[in-house]
Amino acid sequence: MMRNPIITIISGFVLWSLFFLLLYAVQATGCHFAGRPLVALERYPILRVILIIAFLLSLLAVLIPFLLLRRRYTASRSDNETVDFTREVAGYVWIAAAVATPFCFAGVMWLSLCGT
Amino acid sequence: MLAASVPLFLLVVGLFLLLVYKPQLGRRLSPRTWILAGGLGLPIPILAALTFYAFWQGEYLLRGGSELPADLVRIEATGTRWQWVFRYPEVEGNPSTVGVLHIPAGRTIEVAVESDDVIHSFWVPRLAGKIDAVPGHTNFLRLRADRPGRYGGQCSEYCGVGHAGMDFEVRAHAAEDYLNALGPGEQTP
Amino acid sequence: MKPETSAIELHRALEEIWGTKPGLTRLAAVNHNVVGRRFMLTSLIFFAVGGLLAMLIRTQLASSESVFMDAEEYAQVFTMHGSIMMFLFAIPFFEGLAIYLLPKLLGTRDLAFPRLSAYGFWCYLFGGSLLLAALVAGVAPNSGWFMYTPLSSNTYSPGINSDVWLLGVTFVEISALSAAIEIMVTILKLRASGMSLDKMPIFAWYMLVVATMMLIGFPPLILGSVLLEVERAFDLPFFDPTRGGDPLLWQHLFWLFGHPEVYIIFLPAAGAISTILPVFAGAPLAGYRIIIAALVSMAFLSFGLWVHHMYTVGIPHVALSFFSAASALVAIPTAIQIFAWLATISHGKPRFSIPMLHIFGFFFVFVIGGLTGVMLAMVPFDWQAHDTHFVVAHLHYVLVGGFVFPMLAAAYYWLPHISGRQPVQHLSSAAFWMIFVGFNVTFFMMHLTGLRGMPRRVFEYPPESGWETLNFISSAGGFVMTMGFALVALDFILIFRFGRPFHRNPWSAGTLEWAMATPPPSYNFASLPTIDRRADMLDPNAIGPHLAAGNGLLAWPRGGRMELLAIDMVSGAPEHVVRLPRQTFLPLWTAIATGCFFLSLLFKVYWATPVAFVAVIALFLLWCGDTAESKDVGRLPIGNGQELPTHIEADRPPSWWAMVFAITADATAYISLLFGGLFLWISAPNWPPQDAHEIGLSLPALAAVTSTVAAVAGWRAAASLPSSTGLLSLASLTHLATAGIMLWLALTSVPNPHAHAAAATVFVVLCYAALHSLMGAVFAGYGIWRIRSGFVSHARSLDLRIGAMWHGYSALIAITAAGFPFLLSALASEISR
Ligand code: HEM
Ligand SMILES: [Cu+2]
Ligand SMILES: [Cu+2]
Repeated sequence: MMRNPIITIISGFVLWSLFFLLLYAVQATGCHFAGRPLVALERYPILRVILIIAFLLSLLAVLIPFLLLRRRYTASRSDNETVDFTREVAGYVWIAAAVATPFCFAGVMWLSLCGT
Repeated sequence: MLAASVPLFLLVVGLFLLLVYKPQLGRRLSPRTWILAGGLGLPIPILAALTFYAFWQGEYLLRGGSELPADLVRIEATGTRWQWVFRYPEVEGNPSTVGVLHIPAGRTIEVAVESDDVIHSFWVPRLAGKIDAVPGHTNFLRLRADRPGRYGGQCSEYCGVGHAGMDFEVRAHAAEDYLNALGPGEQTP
Repeated sequence: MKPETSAIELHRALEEIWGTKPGLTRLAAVNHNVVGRRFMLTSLIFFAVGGLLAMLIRTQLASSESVFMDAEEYAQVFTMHGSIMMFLFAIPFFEGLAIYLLPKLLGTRDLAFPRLSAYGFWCYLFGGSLLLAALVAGVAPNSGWFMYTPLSSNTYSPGINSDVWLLGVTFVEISALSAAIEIMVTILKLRASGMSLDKMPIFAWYMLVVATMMLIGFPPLILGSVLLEVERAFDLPFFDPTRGGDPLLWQHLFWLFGHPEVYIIFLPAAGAISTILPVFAGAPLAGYRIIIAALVSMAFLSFGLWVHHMYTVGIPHVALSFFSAASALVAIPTAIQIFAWLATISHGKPRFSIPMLHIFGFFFVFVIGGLTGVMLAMVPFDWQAHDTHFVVAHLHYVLVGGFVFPMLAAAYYWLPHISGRQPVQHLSSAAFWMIFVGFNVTFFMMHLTGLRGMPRRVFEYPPESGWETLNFISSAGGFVMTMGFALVALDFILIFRFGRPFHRNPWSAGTLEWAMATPPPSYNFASLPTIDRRADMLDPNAIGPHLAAGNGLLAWPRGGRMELLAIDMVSGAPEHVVRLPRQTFLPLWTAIATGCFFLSLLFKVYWATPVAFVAVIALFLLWCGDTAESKDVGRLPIGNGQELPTHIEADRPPSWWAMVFAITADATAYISLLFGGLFLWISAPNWPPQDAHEIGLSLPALAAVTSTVAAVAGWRAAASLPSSTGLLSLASLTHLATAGIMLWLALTSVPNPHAHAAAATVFVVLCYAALHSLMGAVFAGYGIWRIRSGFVSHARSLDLRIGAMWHGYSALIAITAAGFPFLLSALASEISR
């Protein structure tokens, strides 16, 4: 799919970064619209729902390509050492991204959304 | 955390020394096993447990270390170079004090922290964590003192040459003394 | 085999071309051996100054109400200590090490852009000297090494102090950015023939990741510094809360750089360990692939945790949780590396020697720093420990453990390479133990004072606080440590004076830097190697003589040219021949002009600023003359019966990639700027602005059109050689038109940019776009000039293709900049409710 294996290696975490920014931006914008000065520790059900949806999207966005990638790698073995290398490294990095995504964003499920 | 850190530290440094002098002890494990066990198996459970415990603890502290009561005592703290000014909007006459914060013991206080000039940080080590006083923003900190007494507080964000001397004191009073302490004539220490 | 005499002739011929000439011409040196050594030496001098300041700090804190320094002096001292250690010691030191080592490890003769590294060195030297001069003059920066606004702003720091920091550090960062591009391109393109990605020496992987992180990490800091300097000098209120700015914007920009910075400092050191430790373990590095995956993961994660320096600024808990979790996760790649090293040891025959001793120091100290780091990553703990001496202890355990000890190991390991002499072991271990014990005594105590509530950055504390004994012990330890460092310095001098010369490869390492004479000749390898296995499992003792005899590639110099081999970045197959420019004073002159630019800003001689700027651009254009070819060269033999084109006629030579990376860095700064504007809308007080934006649609639309025309014309020009001058003229005119419109909009349509941060941001965005279009015009004009003077042909279209990238990119900038005012005012009016 991708010509340059370096891109394959990093793309999992690129997705993670994009969702990181997205979630942080959604949260901040949501609290911004909630009014100012920030009411301390209020509950905002709509914002929570939006964030959880974004969180689920991030899971899908990282998991689906990851599974596709794995399928493709297991389907075609390669005896070129460099290809083998880049695939193995890409596999590890994708696993890391797939773990990092739920681990970093799970807080949206219950932690206080706005205010200090 | 300390309890977990000491064994972890001893483990890693111990392994290093052990292996340098007696590498054959580690040879039974393949490099892959070493890396997976030590690099993933060891830290992941610890970190996951710690992180989620910290989330829970953070929520607890945000509420002032207990359930959030409906009747918070609201006080305003403003940092200016180089002292803290406290206002009590809920007390009749809207009193204010400089350098001394009076609170009722046994109640949850919500301090609204602001700054008049540069960034300061409001910190009473024995009562709560710290929160920065950022000009243009109002931050909230909830704390409670379970029994009357005096608690030291200090500015903990560098704010210029007077930073080291920008300390204050929290006086927690029994409920009946609280309003007296803020009565006329008592205001400035 | 060629006869022996010809090896000596070969050496003479190469040295004549590559060597640095004596006398004043030394200032024209561009060779990586020279520049790398200069970087390292200069940074060690800065380390000594920083260490001296640390001693002043410890003297002050040794007793409770010390009268040694007053608050202002103390502020300058701790600010300069932190800034020097981070910007003038740690980063330049590893840059120097990388500049010195990488070409050798990769099996080539020099870096991709030797003049750029020379320029970087001068920028570093001048910028650093500026900071030192301010220290001597008593006007050093005094708001802490992270320069929080509004303390560092005009209102609260009216003097020149903050300007010195902002301008001096930005000046130095030019060298960091140029080193980043240099290192990335060198690693990706200039490796030995056959060195595919999977055969790269592990240090190169580390540096590739580090350089990429620098490329993304430094632009936010540079942007922040520019904005703050603009606020201070021209009163545009980006960070001023009374006019719609926000001090938190500075913190985000700073830490977006500041945290990755810590990993940028740690990873080169870890790379040194991954190179050195296997040699002393007597086994190849275990887990090569896992380590690389860990590095990549770490690079990304480290950009997702900058807010852990801002847990107390009032960010909601859920947002903190993202950063807290990422901070915890980043410990895992570190753990992987540590256990890979342990695995390496356990599968070899380890021997202890001085570098290993320092690696032991690393393990001991860094693990403690890592554990306290995980503690601090936990939000509730940080709410207590933040800004106390606990943090000071933590950061020194990480920086000294994760940088100083590994670098001492590296110094002892590679000093024989630089000096050609082997260590005389007597002093070395005594020095290690003094540093090690002194360090732990000094900094372990700070954990305790911190937990007992001692804030950082206080110049005195009350005697009844109970911190005095601990502080005294800590100060005593500090002096032991300093004596240890003095011993190391002495030890190094002794090695240079009295060390025994050796033949080759004293540690029996398996990497290419030992396959050459030591101290190394300027050209490293008389002929270039071909690699068939992982480049840390080679046999330098066999490869060295083979290459020295001229049996490798590109052995015989051609027409006095400096030639290198460029490869396909993945497979390592030779791709083209790179011809490097010769020694020149241009980097020095350009750096001096750059220095004038910064000085004019510092001393507010603003009429000189544009003059200096134009001078810098003009000097840079002069750089291009040196590698030009006035006729098609065709394919050149490289030895072994192979033939390759030169880089000018190649598809994607190093300079093409350099442009890609430069644009990446620039885009990072630009995106940070746009996000900064949006952040102000979300977070800053006193929004929306009073006077709304009244920008008509027509001019921005026109700018979008003209910039697109410029991009298309520039793109077509590269394809329609030799008759491209017309297209390039069109590109240059449309660029000028775009720039004109942008400036016109900025000056006339934006409401007073002094009044509100919204207008100020729009103003800066428009100016940013104008500057890029102006540069586009320069590029197009340059292309015309190159065609006229016959340096460009259908085969030699490189200049135009590189220009085309810029034309396209500046069009993107112009279009987004034209739209930005509308976005911002739509958002702003939306919230006025
Ligand atoms: C030579 C031994 C060193 C000693 C005795 C030492 C001592 C100290 C002390 C006591 C402080 C706290 C100042 C305060 O908060 O009032 C400090 C701050 C700092 N140190 Fe060091 N240090 C040493 C080496 C280093 C090194 C090698 C680095 C980095 C590579 C470094 C980086 C920093 C930074 C970034 C700060 C924070 C400065 C600030 O608060 O603005 N130090 N040092
Ligand atoms: Cu303060
Ligand atoms: Cu950090």
